[in-house]
Amino acid sequence: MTRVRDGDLVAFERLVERYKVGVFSLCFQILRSREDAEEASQDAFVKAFRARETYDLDRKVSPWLLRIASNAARDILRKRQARTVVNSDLLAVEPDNLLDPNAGAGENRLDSEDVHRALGDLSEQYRTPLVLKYLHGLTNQEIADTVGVSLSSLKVRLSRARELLHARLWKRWEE
Amino acid sequence: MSPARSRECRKCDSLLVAYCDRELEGRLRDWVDEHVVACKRCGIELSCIELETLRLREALVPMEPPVDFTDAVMDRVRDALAHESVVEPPRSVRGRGFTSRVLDQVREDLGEAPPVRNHRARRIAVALAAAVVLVAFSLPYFLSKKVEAPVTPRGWVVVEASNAGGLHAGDAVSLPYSGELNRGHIVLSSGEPAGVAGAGLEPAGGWRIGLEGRGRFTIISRDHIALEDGELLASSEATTAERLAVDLPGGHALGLQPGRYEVVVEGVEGRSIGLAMPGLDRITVRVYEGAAGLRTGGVDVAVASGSLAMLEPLRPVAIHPLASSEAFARLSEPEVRGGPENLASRRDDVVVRGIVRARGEAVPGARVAIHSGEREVTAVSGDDGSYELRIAMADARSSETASNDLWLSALAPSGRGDLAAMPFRSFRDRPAPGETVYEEVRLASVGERRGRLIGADGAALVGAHVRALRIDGFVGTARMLDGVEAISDENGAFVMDRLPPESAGESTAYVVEPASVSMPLHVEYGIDETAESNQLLIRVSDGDPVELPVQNPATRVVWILKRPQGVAADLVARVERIDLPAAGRSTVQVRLLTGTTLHWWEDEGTGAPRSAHEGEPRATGKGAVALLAAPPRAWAGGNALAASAAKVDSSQHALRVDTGLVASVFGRDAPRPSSSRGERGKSAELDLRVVGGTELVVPVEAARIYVRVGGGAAWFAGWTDLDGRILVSDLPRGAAVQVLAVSGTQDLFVGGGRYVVDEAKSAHRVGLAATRSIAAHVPPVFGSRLARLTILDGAFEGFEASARIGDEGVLRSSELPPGRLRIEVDGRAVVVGADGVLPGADAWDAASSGSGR
Repeated sequence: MTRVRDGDLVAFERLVERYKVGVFSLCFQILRSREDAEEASQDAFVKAFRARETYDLDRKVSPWLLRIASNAARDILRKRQARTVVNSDLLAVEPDNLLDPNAGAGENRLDSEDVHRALGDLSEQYRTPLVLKYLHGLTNQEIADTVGVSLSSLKVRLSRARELLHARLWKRWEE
Repeated sequence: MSPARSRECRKCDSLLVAYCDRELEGRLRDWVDEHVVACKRCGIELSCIELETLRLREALVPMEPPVDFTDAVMDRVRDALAHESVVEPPRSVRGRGFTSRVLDQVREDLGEAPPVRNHRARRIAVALAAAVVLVAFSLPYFLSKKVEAPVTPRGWVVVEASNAGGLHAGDAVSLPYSGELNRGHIVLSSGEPAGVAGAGLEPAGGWRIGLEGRGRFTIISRDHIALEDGELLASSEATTAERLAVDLPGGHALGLQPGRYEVVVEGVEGRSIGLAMPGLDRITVRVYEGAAGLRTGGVDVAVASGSLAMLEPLRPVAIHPLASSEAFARLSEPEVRGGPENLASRRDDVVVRGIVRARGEAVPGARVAIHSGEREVTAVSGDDGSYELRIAMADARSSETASNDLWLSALAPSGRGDLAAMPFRSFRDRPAPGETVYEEVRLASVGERRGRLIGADGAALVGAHVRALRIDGFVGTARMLDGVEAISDENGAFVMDRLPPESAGESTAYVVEPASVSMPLHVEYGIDETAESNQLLIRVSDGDPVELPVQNPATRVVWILKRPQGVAADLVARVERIDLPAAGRSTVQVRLLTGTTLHWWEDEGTGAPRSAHEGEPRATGKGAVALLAAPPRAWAGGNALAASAAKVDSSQHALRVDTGLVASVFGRDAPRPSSSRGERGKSAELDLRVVGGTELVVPVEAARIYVRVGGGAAWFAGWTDLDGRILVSDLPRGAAVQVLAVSGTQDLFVGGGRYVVDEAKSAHRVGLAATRSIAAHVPPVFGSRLARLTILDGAFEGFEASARIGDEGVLRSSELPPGRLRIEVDGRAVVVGADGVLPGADAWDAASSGSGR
């Protein structure tokens, strides 16, 4: 990372190779679209390179990178929401239309696909901490730093996210 | 049900995710450990959350970006670098593209010259300056680290300051901290022996203060809390001198010395109290609005037990512990002045007397408590073990306290680590207001399990063999504890002792083998007509026949304890309790399950079987089946335990086997069969009753099957047969179920899965060891987002599942059983072979009905 800070492109290319999956995965989970995720992850790496001198060598790379990535993804999310606002009615009904009423008929257990769907229903502010925690394995403090909130706010957000997820996932078993 | 219980559940709810993520440490984790075992609802909730977390991790799979991603990034970075460098005009390099020229220039600079921004000296200077500023500003922070209290939506406030993300040695809670609780809970703790130090805090050893209540409060320092109004329950288990001051309105303080204590303040208005109580290990102070009862002129005020009400504005007074009799005498004869209307009428008091015993001997010094709603009255047993409690049952303010909500509990005396506490229990004969009742309190030895087995018909299971199974939840293994077993008596009661403490991650289940249940998988049953002694010939699979005397029909019990040889050599066949009518002709039907084939024998005899023949497989109604495959089983999941039982219906001259009896434990806060980490084994009372359930089919060959429901311990369901099948019946519907398969006798973990029992289905097929997951890209030509998966061969032929295709075109499904897999999407299908490789796009054919099957 010292070399990256000094502007070493070879070192930075290695960094991209090493962290691209994590960054891309985070962006995808936030944006739920490969195209947007690719754009956001590229933005993130470029921003990281531009901000390389602000990087604190004593800290871990991944939270720093993921913070930049989540901001980049959120930028795109905001743009996307802005341009699709006129279609919000359609968007609102889309998830139901997409669901095959028979899709779960043969299932008798909760599977990761259910979770995948339920995650998609969560708003970004709740989804991102979950992704950082359960995909990237960051500590709560690292997630708080990455998302840019206080540790206590992060805990509240994580707790709320799990509650929302829980409510969505188990609703059908309780019905 | 006590309000305290629901409060515990709410607290547990707020901690389950952190528990599941292994973010809880120390006592809080232990507390959840115990609660989820004792509380079925929270156990199931935990299981659901565990399942969710598992699926969450599975759903959040890392995703590969496009193959040219790095190149694309690097191109943009080079561009960015070029634009950065525009600020510093590049040297003249002409004849090529701008970016390339700039990049070349940059590379040249980087390679040959010092880095572009080699302002190291300036950076160091700036960093030093920043460090000075940072230190200056952060000193107060380090001296007084702010611990914010996250408010969960359910209104619980938890400050967990044990290890991760919390307080460490040298940290301090930032005080004062003010807050408003609405049924809140706040815990400040430090597991570090080095203790804490900081602004307003005294260095101390490991300490922990739990506050629970509602109202407005201010934490002034770690030993000083001001409560403006509302109620507060404080508890502390300190290892060194502990002192907690609670300011009540009026500004006086309450100081507490080491040990457990409790402070309850209800609706204080214009009253205050100051107490110092050295040496007490538990104290309850109750202050009623406008109440009277405590005289403050002297210092010898006994509050070792009982309620306390104030007469007048108080000055700080010292409280000395008194002998229980003296304390009780003082409390039971309060000089009530001013006639506070909220004090109970003594005519309606319930008086409870009794003796505390352990192993038949009186136990002095035990603390017995009676609880009604939020109220609690305690007493210490005297030298002869006797105690007496008095609690008001008619409260002028509310008829609630006159309800039937009365509970008794007891704590072992200090220094008696060999005795366990008696959990809350109700009264055998519910006392009426004004009545005096006798209740003997029995303290169990640690490591003891005592309980009762009750069958589906409500009758006690007599002579059942209870053993303890220790499950390592982390590794997935289970082992039977040698020498820890019991036989239920004529009332179904059993006592199991010497249960060793559980290590971290371990839990205990109970295997109940009712005396009248057989375990005859792979058992052939026949009667040797030629034997004059009327011997039964029983053959286990291909093993050697085992001859058994048909004892006097009245004896009715036949045991095979010989371990059979042959194919099923790992299985211990135990044919137990073949009940035969004492006289007259009888018909004994025997159904045997060999693999998936049913064999039937019928025997018509005259009191003792005289002949037997093999009959055709046929259906039969329940109630005429002997030796049905009915593995012994036991549930100890949360507070559930089940047992199978077979019993003789002599009126029909036939054996009847009732299987799969699922039981729930009744009784408040009982049992707590799982002990905390590092603690001694605890005692528990198990009272087991039968409830309903459903079926689970687990196809694993020659393996022992353990099933875990909710957050409880796993129970042993039995062995699979030669075809790898086992019928696990009577699973609670809607419960989240985890299945473990352990091969042979090696305690080797084979596999497992987690399922939710669907009420709409009578049976569940569960793939275990050979399950697989697929994640495959589906050609983008398909418009559908739904795929239908079908297993084409093997034991799961015909198994169908559906799976969604994600936005990224990836089809995912998990826990698929073995066998060739047919994937159908949008009228096109492809078959995935045993190698699991998904064929290319050209392999997808138009699907037709049954194609590929």
